[in-house]
Amino acid sequence: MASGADGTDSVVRDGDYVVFHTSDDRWNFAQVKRGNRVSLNSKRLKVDAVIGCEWGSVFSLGRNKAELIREIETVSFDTELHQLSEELHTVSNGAEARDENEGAEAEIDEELEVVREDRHDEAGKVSLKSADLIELAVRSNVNFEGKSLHARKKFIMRKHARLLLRVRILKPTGRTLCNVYCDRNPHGILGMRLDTFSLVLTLANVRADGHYMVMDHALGLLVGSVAQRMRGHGKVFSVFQGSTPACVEMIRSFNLSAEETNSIRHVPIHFLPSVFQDAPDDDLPLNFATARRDPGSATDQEQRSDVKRARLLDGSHPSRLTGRPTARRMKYWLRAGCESLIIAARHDALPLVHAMLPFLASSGNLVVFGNNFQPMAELQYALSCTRSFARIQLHETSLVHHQVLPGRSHPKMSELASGGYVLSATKLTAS
Amino acid sequence: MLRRLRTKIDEPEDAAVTESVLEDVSERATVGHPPVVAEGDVVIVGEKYPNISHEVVRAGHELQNRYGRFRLGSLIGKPVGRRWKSEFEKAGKGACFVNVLAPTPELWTVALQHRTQVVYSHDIALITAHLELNAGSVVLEAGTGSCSMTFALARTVAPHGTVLSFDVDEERVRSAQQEIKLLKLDHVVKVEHRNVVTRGFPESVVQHSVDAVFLDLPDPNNVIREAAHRLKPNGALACFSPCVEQVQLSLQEIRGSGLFYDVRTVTNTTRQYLTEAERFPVPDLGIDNQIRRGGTCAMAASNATTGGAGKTDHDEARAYAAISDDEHADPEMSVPAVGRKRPRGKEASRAVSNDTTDVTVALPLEYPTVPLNSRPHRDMKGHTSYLTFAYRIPYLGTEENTATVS
Ligand SMILES: C[S@@+](CC[C@H](N)C(=O)[O-])C[C@H]1O[C@@H](n2cnc3c(N)ncnc32)[C@H](O)[C@@H]1O
Repeated sequence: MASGADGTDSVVRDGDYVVFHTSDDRWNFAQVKRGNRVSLNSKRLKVDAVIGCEWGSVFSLGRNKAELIREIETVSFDTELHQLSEELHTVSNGAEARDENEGAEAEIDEELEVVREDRHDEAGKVSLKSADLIELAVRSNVNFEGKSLHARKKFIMRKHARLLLRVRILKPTGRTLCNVYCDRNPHGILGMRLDTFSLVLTLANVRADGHYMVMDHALGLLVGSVAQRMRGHGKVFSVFQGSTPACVEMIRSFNLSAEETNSIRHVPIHFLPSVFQDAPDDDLPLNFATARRDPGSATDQEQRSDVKRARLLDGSHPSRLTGRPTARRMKYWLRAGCESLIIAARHDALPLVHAMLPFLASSGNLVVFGNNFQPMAELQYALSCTRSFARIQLHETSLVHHQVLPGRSHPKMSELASGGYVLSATKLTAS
Repeated sequence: MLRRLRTKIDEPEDAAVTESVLEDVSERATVGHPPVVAEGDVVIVGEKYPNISHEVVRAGHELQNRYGRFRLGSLIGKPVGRRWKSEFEKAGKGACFVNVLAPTPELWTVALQHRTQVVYSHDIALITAHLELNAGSVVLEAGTGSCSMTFALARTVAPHGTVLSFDVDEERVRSAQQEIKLLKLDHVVKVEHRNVVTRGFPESVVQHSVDAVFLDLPDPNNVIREAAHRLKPNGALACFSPCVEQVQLSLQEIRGSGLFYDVRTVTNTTRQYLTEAERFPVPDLGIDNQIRRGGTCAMAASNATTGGAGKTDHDEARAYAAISDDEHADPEMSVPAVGRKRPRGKEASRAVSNDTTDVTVALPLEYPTVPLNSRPHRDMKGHTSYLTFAYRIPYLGTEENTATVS
């Protein structure tokens, strides 16, 4: 598959996944292929235009608001927008509010449309300059005589946001994808806010050459991020329940290189208890079908899709049957132990910890993310009772964004009130 | 010490899984086979939580603390991640233990020698995520301070990446260099004595060659343009400043330069909880019909949460009964339970964070059957600051080639 995020490629290639970040702080991502679209600010935009563009490039919305148009950015667009809003602040602060005048808004609306039409040059680009907007703002002071100061400011800012909406294309990384999910589907990643997400990776001591066992119910955000951080050096054992590896799609959206993809190994949880015994069929590829089900009872179709999926996962190794390692090799890897166990589960984590604990190396870390406090506290206490852990810590972090401006600094409202809890503990071995 | 915890074993190709390799597997690939300690290694010594320190292992040296005397030489050749017994038994107390652990950046941050204010792990985590670091990134840091951030940066970018760290204080630079050597990170980290405000970054750091810049010094605003010149397109900048006035100056520079996008300032506070099997005291009101714990409601709830962990209603009831009996017998009912241990049979010595009790026998992981109490840890280190993040716009312009580095 296309790989644009291996640190060397500077332009977006056909087939890459791309994160879109708007100037009003909305996030989304999409695979860029001719004809594909991305939803942004309730519009479905064609993504073709970003192919071949440098990562970090800025786009405006075309005249019909259905496509992205490349903008040349020699001075940061964010700086321009900031200056504009500061100027507006000054201008609109200068006027006093008087009685209401309902007709003004429609009037301004019309004027803005005219300005916008005027500013479309032949290429169809919107080239509205800050001076024009200031002018408009001043005019709006006249036309707005009746409106309250607050209403007027709100109105002007809204117009600006609409006219000046910009979209920046970013590489999919743990940070950008976490932002995408927090914005669009926090439930999908268990409400794991960027602060808790990063705490999980740090407490798990993620680094090159490490082996990590991950149970990821956060759509693969953790599995992908660990693989990306290690850059193909080391291994991520992605443990899944059922018979099909989890979150394959999300992992692909990291644009991982072949080595990075290859560092991710999918392990069915029912395989774990058998790791310490050798078995006659150890030289066969790892069996993803659940142990409880009679292998013969799996329908042809199920098996086929299973095989297809596994190939998909491991496209870099077409020569290996279904892309899976042999059971023997998987046992060999797992017996060596992992630096950390990472668990972010939709349900109570204690049984998972119990199943995965034998694979945690001495002095390695157990890191569990959870959204509910009580089960985490219970797990914390249960771990202490085993006498096999040092430094059992239950963390909570709170991330607050701030507006910092002369005389106007204040914390901003946060979108996710809680980012969840993180439990960490260091394994001790009796000796 | 970036050595892996597992024994490094050469991995066989499937096709090459021969008899001899298999022997090798069964012989060496035992679970949790941790590295063994060697002379000169750094180990972390965990005492009663949250006390922690670090030691350099030297045969013949001793560690003395309130748990007794420990011969450092006795660690050599043994794995980390275990309890370490003191040399003599304290009268009536038996032998004491401390935990000996591998030096991760997170443990180092709390065990290091403070020369300055340091960045703590929850902030380090957020900074690392924002800087989008991976194994191979090139990072500039100023100032080095106590090496808390430096170690964490090194861990993430090793083995192919680089951390170039600068500090204006010669003494701190020397100490940092020694520690980096002890931690066996000298192939990843270079610490240099330099005033980055007056002299900028060295010429050897070519323009647009670094992935990330981290600034934790009193006036980061004076280094921001320098940083912009060194950052690659989309490279990340992070500033750590305790005062909002300082943040304001930095933001003026960041925005004024017109070279950064997605500029944001956040604070990230942390809190840690303790969970203990001790209950908030239930007062004896001395009246009939007093409401008590362990009623049918509490039992139903408790059965539901333990999800049938093998305990019968009968066991459960007895556990509760035992506790409430004791509660009645307690004459100090009005004393707050905080800090008071309420040992209950098997769970007696199991209070959270009791790292130094004389216990060596591991017990199986089970759902707790006693009522639990959690509260925030009161004296947890959670120093934080304003964190400001920004990213270099991809446009590199032409005027920059002539930009002066004073
Ligand atoms: C708060 S400490 C950094 C702590 C460090 N981040 C840590 O986590 O251990 C700030 C350091 O910046 C250094 N410093 C101050 N001004 C500097 C300058 N102009 N150039 C380089 N370093 C400077 C100080 O000597 C001090 O050691």
